Formats: sequence, structure tokens, C-alpha cells
Amino acid sequence: MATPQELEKRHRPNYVGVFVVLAVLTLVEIGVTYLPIPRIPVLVPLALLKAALVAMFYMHLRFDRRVFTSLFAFGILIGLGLLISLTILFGPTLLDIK
Amino acid sequence: MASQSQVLTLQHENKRFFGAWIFSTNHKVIGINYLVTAFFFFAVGGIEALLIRVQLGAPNNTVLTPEQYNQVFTMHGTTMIFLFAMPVLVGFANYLVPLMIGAQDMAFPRLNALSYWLFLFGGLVLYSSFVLGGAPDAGWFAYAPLTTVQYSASHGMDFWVLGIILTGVGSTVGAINFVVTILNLRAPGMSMFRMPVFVWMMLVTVFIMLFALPAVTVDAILLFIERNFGALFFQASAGGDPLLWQNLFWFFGHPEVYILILPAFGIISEVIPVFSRKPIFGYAALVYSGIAIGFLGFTVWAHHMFAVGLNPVADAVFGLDSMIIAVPTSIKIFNWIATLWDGKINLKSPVLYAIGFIAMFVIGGLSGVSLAIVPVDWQMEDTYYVVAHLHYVLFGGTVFAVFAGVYYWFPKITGRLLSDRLGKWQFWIMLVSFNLTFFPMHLLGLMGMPRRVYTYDAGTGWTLFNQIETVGAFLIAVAMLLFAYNLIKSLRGGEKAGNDPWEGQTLEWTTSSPPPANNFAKIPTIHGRRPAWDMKQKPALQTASEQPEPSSSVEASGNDLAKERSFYPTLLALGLMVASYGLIYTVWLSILGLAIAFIGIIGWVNEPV
Amino acid sequence: MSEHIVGDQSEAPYVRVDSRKMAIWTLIGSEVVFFASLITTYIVMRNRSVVGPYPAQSLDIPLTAFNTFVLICSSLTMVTALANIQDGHVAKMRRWLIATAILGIIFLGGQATEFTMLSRLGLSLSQNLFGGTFFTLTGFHGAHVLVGVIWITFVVVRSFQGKVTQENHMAVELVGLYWHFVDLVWIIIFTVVYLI
Repeated sequence: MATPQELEKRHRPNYVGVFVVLAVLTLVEIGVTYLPIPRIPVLVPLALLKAALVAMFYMHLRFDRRVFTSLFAFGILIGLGLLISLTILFGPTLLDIK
Repeated sequence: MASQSQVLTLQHENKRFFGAWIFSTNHKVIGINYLVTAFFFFAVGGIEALLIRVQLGAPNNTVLTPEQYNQVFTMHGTTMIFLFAMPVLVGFANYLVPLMIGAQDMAFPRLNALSYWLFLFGGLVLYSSFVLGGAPDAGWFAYAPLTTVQYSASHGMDFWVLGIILTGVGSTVGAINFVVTILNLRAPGMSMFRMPVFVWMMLVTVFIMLFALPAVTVDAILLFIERNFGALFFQASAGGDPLLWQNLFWFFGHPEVYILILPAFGIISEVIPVFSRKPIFGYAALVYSGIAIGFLGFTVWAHHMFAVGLNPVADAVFGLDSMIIAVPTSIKIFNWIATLWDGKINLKSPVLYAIGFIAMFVIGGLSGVSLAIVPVDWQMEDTYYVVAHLHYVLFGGTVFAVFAGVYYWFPKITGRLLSDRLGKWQFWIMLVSFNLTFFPMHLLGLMGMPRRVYTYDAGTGWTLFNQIETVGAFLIAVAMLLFAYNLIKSLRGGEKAGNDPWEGQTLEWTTSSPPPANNFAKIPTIHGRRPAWDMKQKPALQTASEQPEPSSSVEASGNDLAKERSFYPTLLALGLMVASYGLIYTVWLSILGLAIAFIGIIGWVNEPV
Repeated sequence: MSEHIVGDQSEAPYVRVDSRKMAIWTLIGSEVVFFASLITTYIVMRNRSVVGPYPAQSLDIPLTAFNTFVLICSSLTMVTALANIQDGHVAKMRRWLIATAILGIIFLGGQATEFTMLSRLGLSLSQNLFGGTFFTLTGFHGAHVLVGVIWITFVVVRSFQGKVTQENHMAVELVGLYWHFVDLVWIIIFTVVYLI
């Protein structure tokens, strides 16, 4: 059985690589705001992707025990549920961008 | 058994017993602290209830002014929910969960102590409002904009916010402790599906706490900022919306009621099999229905808002969901009845309360489901019908379950039995007086009596029922006094209980009464759902070779069991309390409080483990 | 960390995880809902302001883009610190931790600058709903960053006391998880508040 340290090293992602992707995605996001394309359908998935990268690789969820992902995922499920339902309930005034 | 000498050893090791007790990090001591403090607040909340009933005992009564009445009913609700029901259930959990899973303590004993102190200090901050300008007076649910400075000028609502946040942090921290303890510290052989149902219910409950409390914390923060920094979240004229308050509040508030009932379900699920002398019927169904309730509980919150003008689709969705949630609850009721069925019932006080629970809770559940029908709710909203419903589930439910638990586990905690004869008297008086007090409220609600009104006119025709209810309330008080008498009498000279007076099925019954400081000298290995039963029937299974030494592995997973007391959790909680006062009075207090808290944290981190 | 098997022959053994790591993830799960509530409040309220300043005219994307970049860098430095202590290099870990803290302070400085600019435009907690929700949301996020910086400092101090080692560096993992979470929340805030 490998030592904990060896296990940790085996599962070490390319942190700098992830960083580069995150930086590029951020630039893309900013770029999108200068283009005449709908923002929400593009930016939200991009943001979620960035968040997922941080969670999976920097927070090591991809390689860690599943229970950690579950704890995180339950929170997201509830939080997202709150966000979506309240957005629907308060619907009409949401998108009058001033 | 060595228990007496071990308790004495604990006392000798810690020269000043009071200091040992008050700063103890042992889960049993903390559990008792929770239970005692919660019952103290139960008495306070009960007196508030009696004040309400006295005021309403006659039309146009002048015992309380309207302003006083508002404070009393607000504090009654807030106290009963946050300072009695939640803590008493957590108190049971604190005492029992480590014992039931074969652990020596919670995963984080000092964090456990912190939870208790935050509860106590949060309660004290809330109650200090009475002498600092007036208690909160806008209902336990604190609807904005009634709670904004324009309509609630005293600091009462600010104290409400601080009380909620302090106790909420305590609950959150406690919830984390329970999650880790239950998932990580189970004895060898205790898989998830061999855990007692009470432990499962606590696991679901603490998950609900973790994901519901943040919503009310944010809501309370928004209210505080509105009151003290002039924000406009709830001002319609500025584009704000009172419904923001309501949505965030009930997003917490509804899961909160499942926090209040699931542990009670757990207690009932422990008591009924033991006194039926059978295994619980439908263990898996009880577990899965508990999980289902926990999840579904997050999807029904707007049924508290049917009357605010939501669109019909929202009404329909929430109404439907509120009916669906009755299903897993009913499954539990059937499981309990099936357990009792054909059992060799040992009709002692605990199971009497459990049966009372089932009957009363079903009534409460039925009124609840009727309220899920949107047009019915439109008629019943803010009437005494809702007051009836909530008391049938919270008193007829939770409180009855609490007494079942008290009668059941008192012998384990103290080593003495409560008088069963007095217990039965208390039960019957309580059952009759409870129904006398709250059943007429259904009818009053149907007759149109609104809730939260400080008086009513003689011509309404509501007088008789109100009088009956007031008499009933005082009879409840009689039952409670009887309980207090039983408690004191039994503590002084009650019958010695021995390890296992009820022929229990779960691990706590394999220890002495009270258990030794570290619960189990050797962590047992578990082979089934009823380890105490197994150990009695098949003692050969427990061989020394099956018992791995506990301490090294427990330390390796980062627990701090070595010290049984610490002053730093108290200091940290004290600092947070002082900082809270600073938020109302002066920022210098907050800075002082944070400094105290900081010292507490540094001491904690550097304490030798 | 030694393995401790829970379970007998009849079922799959369960190996315990570190309790403190499980605790921090549980806390993070709860904090997700906390920030979701704040973000939701922002989303549903911000365009209901009756008076200005309004988001589109007030928010400075370049400055906050820089701030976002700073925070993303800080996650990289944090995770590098962890890798170093996993490899046994205490001094290097310390340097990367300090770098993380410095980046955090730069972020806070950026936030302070932005808050000042916005208040010069007339935005405040009480001015309108945009101000109320904006400052509450970003204020609480900033407070979390501050707590993170203080926590990192704690760990650096402890490393000087020899309490952070290759065998026992859970402290670094814990603060790292917290820190990445705070970064993650900012990623969402940046998109929701500034870009959409």
C-alpha cells in the first residue's frame, strides 16, 4: 500500500495548466461582454466551468473521497434550487438592465 | 461496574467540580447542559404561553397591553423553537449519538462545547432585550417591513437578529460535528444501515440545518443592514419587496420544522421497538422516508405564502408538494403501528408518550394537509386553525416525543428511574389538557378568529372556547409541575436503574448507568442492528480479538479526545456575544468582542491535544 | 494517516477519512447556500433600483478583472504551497503561503479601491437596491477573504513553530480548501455582478 504522500503525488494535476485555462476563460468572458451576443447563456456555463475546474483540481475533488464531492454537491443543489426558484418567483423585473 | 469510581475520578482529576462540569468537553456533560438549559427555556416559554392565555381568557382583557402582548407571543415562539425544541433534541443527540455508534465522544469535543455556549449566549442576548428597550415584537418570523425601523423602533428586532445569528452559528457548528461523528466514528461493523434510526434521523436533521440556516442568516443580515444602515431591501417604494424577506425566511423556516420533528421521529423509533419487545418494523423504509422528508422539506416553503399573491402555478406546485410530503411521513406512522402490532407491549411511560405522539401528530398532520389545499389555506391563513395545527405537531409531536425520550433515557443518564406512576399521571393530564387547550383552536380558526391579536370582542362568540383553552393551558402547567416534582424526587432517591432497565436494543444500554467517561473501555464490534440484544443473546460473539484499540486510530483521524475540558470554546462564544452587543451599541464593543474571540481561537489552536 | 477499517466480513470495509477535512467540506457545503442566498438577493433586487447609480454605468470591469486574476493567481500559489509541503519543503511552502496572503491583500486593496470609486459616484448601502445588494454581497465575500488571509498567517506562524511538516500538514490543506472556495465564489460573483 502506497504511503499517503506517494498517493498524493500520483494524483497531482497540472496546477499551472489549470491556471492558464482559468485565465484564458476569464479573458474570454470579458471578451464576450464586448460582443453583441446574449450574455447569460454563454457566461453562466463559462463561470460554472471555471468553478468546476477550481473544485475538481485545486480543491482536489476529482481525486478525493466521494463523500467530499457529495457534501459540496448537496450545498450546490440546494443553493441552485433557491436561486432558480426565487429568480422565477421574482421574474418580471429581473432583466431590466439599467 | 466501575462507573461510580470513574465519575468520581473525573471529579478528582478536575479539582473544582463546577469548573470541570462547566468547561467540560465530554459529550455527555454537554448533552446534559443542553437538556437542562433547554428545559429552563421551556419553562420561560411556557410562562409566556400562560400570559397569552390569561390575556385571551376574557374578551377585551387588559392584563397585557397590545405592545406587551406582541412581545410575549413573539418571544414565546422564538423561545420554544430556538431555545427549547432545537436544543433539547440536540441535547439528546449529543448524549446518545456517540454511545449509539460505539464512539467515545464526538469528533470535535471542543467544537461541541462551542455549540452549547453559543446557544446559551444567544438565548441570553435575546432575553436581554426585555431590559434593554423591549423584546422583539413582530412575531418569531419577523416579517419585514413591519420589522424595519419605521415600524419597530426599539432595538428588539436587532436583538432578534443577533439571537438568531448566534444560535444559528452554534447550530451550524454542531451540525458539522454530527456529520463528521456519524460518518467517521462508527464502531467496526456498524455500517450505515446498522445505525439506530435515531442516529439516521439526526444525520438528516443536521444536513437540513447546514443547508437551511444560511438562508435565514442572510435574511437576518439583510434586516439588520436595513434597520441600521438604511438599506431598502424590503421597501416597496424603493423597488424592494417584502416577499424577499418571506421567501428567504421560509426557505429556512419550513426545513426548520423538519429539524424540529425528525429527531422526535427518531426518539419514537427507538422507544417503540423496545417496549414492543420486537425489532422496529421497516427499518429501511424509516430511513429512506426520513431522507425523503429531509429533501422534500426544502421544496415546500411557499405554502407559508399562499395568501401573498403568488401566481397560480407557484401555488399549485407548492400545494402539491406539500401534500406529497405527507406520504413519507405516513410511511413512518405505519411502521410504528406495525411495530406495536402483536408486540408484547411493556406499557410504561415512555411508550405511552410515544403512542400519544402518534395520535397527536397524525391529527396535526391532517390539519397540515388540509392547509396544503390552497383555497382552504386562503381561508385559514393567520387564523387559530394554523395555531392549532402547529401546536399539534410541535407539542403533540415534538414535546410528547421529548417526554418519551426523557422517561426512556433518564435512567441511563442518571442511573435512576423516574417514577412510572407519576409519569403516567403526567401523561394523562398532559394528553387531556393539551387537547383541551389546542383542539378548540381548530374551531376558533374556522369561526374566523385571527391569530396574533391581543384581544377580541364579547360579541364574536369566541369567548367560550378561549376560556376552555386558558383552563387547558393551566392544566398543562399542572402536568409540567408534576414532571418537575417527579424529576426532583427521582434524582434524590429514585429506584436504581442498572445498565438496562428496559431491555434495550441499542449500544447505550450495554454501558453502565451513567456510562463511564469514555463510554466504552473497548470499542465493540457490531454484527447487526440490535447490538445490545446480540450481546445479551450471543455473548460469545464479543471476543477480545475482535476489538481493535480505539485511541490511536481516533487520534490519527485528527480528534482531540485527550483533554476533557477547555475554557477556550467558552471564551470564543463570549467574545462573539460581546461583539454582538457592539453591533447595536458601539463598534468599540465589537472590536473588544472580536479581540476576546481571537484570544479564544489562539488558545484553542495552541491547546495541547 | 493510518487506515482504520470499519466493517466485518459481511460488507465492504469503510476506511475513515480525516475528520477535519470532512468538517471543512461540510462547512463549505453550508457556505455555498450562504453565498447562494446573497447572490440570489443581488440577482432579484439589483435592477429594481428606483434611483441611480445603476450597475451598467457604475461597475468598473477592468479593475475587477484584474482583481479576479489576482485571486486566480492566489489559488495557484496556494496549491503550490500545498504541493511543496507534500514534498517536504517547509520553507518553500511558507513562501508560497505568504505569496497567497499578499495576493489576498492586493485583492482586498482592489475591493477597497472599487468601493471608494463607487461611493464617489453616490452608491451606498442606503442609496438604492443596487448599492444595498452589491455592498452586502461583495462585503461579505471580502470579509471571507480577510478571514482567509488571517488564517494563512496563522499557518505560516505555526510553520515557524515546526508544527507543519510533511507528515502532518492538514493545516495547509484545510486553509487551502477554504481559500479555493472563496476564489470559487468570486468567480461566480464576478460573472453575475460585473459581466451579466
